[in-house]
Amino acid sequence: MINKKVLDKVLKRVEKPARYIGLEENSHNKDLNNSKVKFVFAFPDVYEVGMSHLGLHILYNLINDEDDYVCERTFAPWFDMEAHMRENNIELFSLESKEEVKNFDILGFTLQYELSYTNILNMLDLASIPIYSKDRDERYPIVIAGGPCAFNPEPLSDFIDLFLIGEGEEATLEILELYKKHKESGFKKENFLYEAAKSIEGVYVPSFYEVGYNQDNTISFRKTLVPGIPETIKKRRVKNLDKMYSPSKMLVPYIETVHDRIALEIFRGCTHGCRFCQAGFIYRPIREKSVENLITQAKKLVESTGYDTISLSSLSSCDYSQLDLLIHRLLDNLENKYVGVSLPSLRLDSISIDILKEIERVRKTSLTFAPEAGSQRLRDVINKGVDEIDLEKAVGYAFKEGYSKIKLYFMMGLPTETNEDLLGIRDLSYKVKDMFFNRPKEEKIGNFQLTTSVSCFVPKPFTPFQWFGQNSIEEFYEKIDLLKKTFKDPKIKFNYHDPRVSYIEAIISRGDRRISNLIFKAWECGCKFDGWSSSFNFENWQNAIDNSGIDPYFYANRNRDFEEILPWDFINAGPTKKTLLREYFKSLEAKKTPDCREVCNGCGIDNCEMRGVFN
Amino acid sequence: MKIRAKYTKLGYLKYLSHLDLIRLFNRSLTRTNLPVKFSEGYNPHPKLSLGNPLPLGIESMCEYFDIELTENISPNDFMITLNKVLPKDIKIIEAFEIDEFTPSISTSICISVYDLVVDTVNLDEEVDYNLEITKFLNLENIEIEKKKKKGRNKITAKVNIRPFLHKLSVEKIEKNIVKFNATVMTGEKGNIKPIELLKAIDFYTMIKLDLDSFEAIKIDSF
Ligand code: SF4
Repeated sequence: MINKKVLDKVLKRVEKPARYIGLEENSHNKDLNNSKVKFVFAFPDVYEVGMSHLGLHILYNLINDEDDYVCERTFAPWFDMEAHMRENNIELFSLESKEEVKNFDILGFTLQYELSYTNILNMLDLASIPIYSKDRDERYPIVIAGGPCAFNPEPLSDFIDLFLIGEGEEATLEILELYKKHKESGFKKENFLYEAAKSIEGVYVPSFYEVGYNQDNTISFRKTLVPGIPETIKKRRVKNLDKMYSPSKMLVPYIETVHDRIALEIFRGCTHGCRFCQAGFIYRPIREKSVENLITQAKKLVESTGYDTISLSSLSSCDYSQLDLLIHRLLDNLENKYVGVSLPSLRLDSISIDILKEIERVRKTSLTFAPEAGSQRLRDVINKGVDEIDLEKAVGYAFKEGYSKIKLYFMMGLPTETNEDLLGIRDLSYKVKDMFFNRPKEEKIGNFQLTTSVSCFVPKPFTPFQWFGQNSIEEFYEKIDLLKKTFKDPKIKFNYHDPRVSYIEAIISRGDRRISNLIFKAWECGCKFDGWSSSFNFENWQNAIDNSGIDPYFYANRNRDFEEILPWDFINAGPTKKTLLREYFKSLEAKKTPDCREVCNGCGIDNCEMRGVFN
Repeated sequence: MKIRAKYTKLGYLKYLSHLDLIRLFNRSLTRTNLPVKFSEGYNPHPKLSLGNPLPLGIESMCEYFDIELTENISPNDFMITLNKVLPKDIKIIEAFEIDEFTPSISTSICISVYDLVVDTVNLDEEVDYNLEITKFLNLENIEIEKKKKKGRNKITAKVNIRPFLHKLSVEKIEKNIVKFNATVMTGEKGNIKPIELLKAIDFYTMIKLDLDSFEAIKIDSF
């Protein structure tokens, strides 16, 4: 355990000390000494961000509900805390027992975004744990990682002992079970990893594989180094969400977090097949929870947390097949508790006026629409199944109901994009504004404000755009300039993402094993919290690129050959490479692919739970 | 009806801000079936008012809040019910009925008694702690720098805290740890934070303190 007196001194000096104290409602205080496997869940970002992540709450309760295991939490300490910790020799500790992370059996990182990778290295260092997997023996915890970014694990392959690809509910317990068995009979890291790689589906241990490269830097081969382990890693997916573990409790942070509310997961997967969206491909097929089950869960969660808002969480919540019924029943059951329901994402095509009205019964939420591209042609390219009429309908309704603050989200740098497509972003924004001011006087309610945000497209693995070279930083700036000039209305706020951040993200997200070195060098140069615009330092990253000797163009901007072995090809994420390729070609011709609830597009998933249920 | 509740704020929960505390009480009230009165309007919340904020990092045995209820219940039941959902370091220890004539918490409770424990740094010198404190109390002017908001800017102003300091004594001296007991004003008419008092002692007397090491607990207020 760390020195609590020193901790107390430090806490008096830092911003938001409650980030580091734990003790939240529904937190566990199991005895570490009495547990057979000690797991510490590590979120490589600051407490408020990590605590807003649903997966943390699921895994935390899942593990702690087992008598033999304990799960505690740790987060990346903010700059001020890190400085004090280093100065006072406080190692990275768990919030629950204030125990050094080093003393746990398993340290599990969740990989939500690539720009948190330098924080992983920094946390290992703060924990006095060697950063490279090869330097860690039995004295140190096994370091594992999972989450959406684990679908391309290679950039972290030098640091992480074991990756879990896909949904973690079932596999995590299998890993802990195996660990327990090995611990009881004299733990050997190598043996444990081998058994896990061999026997647990979805487990990937990078050290058991070798990768070779061609002269031109592309991959020449991949091979297994030990017998008996799978050549392709199949992602884990939970078959029946109603039977899956769902916590009846959620940790309730004392300090304000990004999402101060209940996150009620209503389904997994998404059927729209937007071609830029990684989640839409890797979490296929769609699997819903039943209304009955959700109502029971929601009641328990309200009781155990006291939150006053339930957010219906999923990739595209308006798609839930019985959304009307669900919202009605939720509100009827909980209205006397003054509990409101919110939908985090609204799709323009499925926006149901009745649904919005239902939500009105308790509380208003702000409205955000994501047309993603400015022209219909480009929306067809990315298979975003909405048109201008959808947007008009939705916005018109919103205005009538008294919403006056609207946010629109777009991307730039999409395949086949022209200046005309870009200017469509301006046109659409002005159209929304005109729609507000062209209303009869008595219907112009509130103070109109439109925010148009444009982000820089980052091509991701396991999407049809995985072969596509990202726009260069210069191209992005030219596009921003073009757009900026056309936005002259004070009622419309034009925002854009920093192209340099998206460039780094692009290098990492489609990186291979050699990117480990870049991440290490970046950390050495002082990079951390790169997802925060206040701390992202491009100069440091550029130094890291120079020091590591990698060619950034090769990773970010190059169009890949279709025959090329891609670093993540050895993972079976569901949809086949052939499907992705077919989708890419269709996109170039601006041809749409229907939603797979209407018709199965044969994406290649074996035993797809959707077939026959929806289509 | 209205109830005034006296509660503790102990352990690591001393690091909860005033706002965190309000949200904790709101959530906890939602979790009970107490007949809490909600405010009208856009974002309904329980009608709850807290006293003057306790500085971050200070424990207390005696904080107060007032709450409005839609039905009459016994203050004792209120206490028992709410305590079931409150964390162990924040518990109601007393509850009683008040009415619309009862003065608000911040006007009626503005004196605090603190126990302050702090490491000293003058090991080699012989210091008479009691004498030093007596001399300190004899000063007419004990000036400290306070950060104040002036419009949008924060400025530092010199403030004489002597009138706000009612009592101060040395309770215990053990090795290099000294324990003080202090009665000070904490309210709009005058306010001393524990750290400010310790800084002043460190500055004006021969007692030299490791200010980072202090632990403070409010043991009484009235
Ligand atoms: S197999 Fe068919 S129904 Fe299932 S996810 Fe793929 S396209 Fe959709």
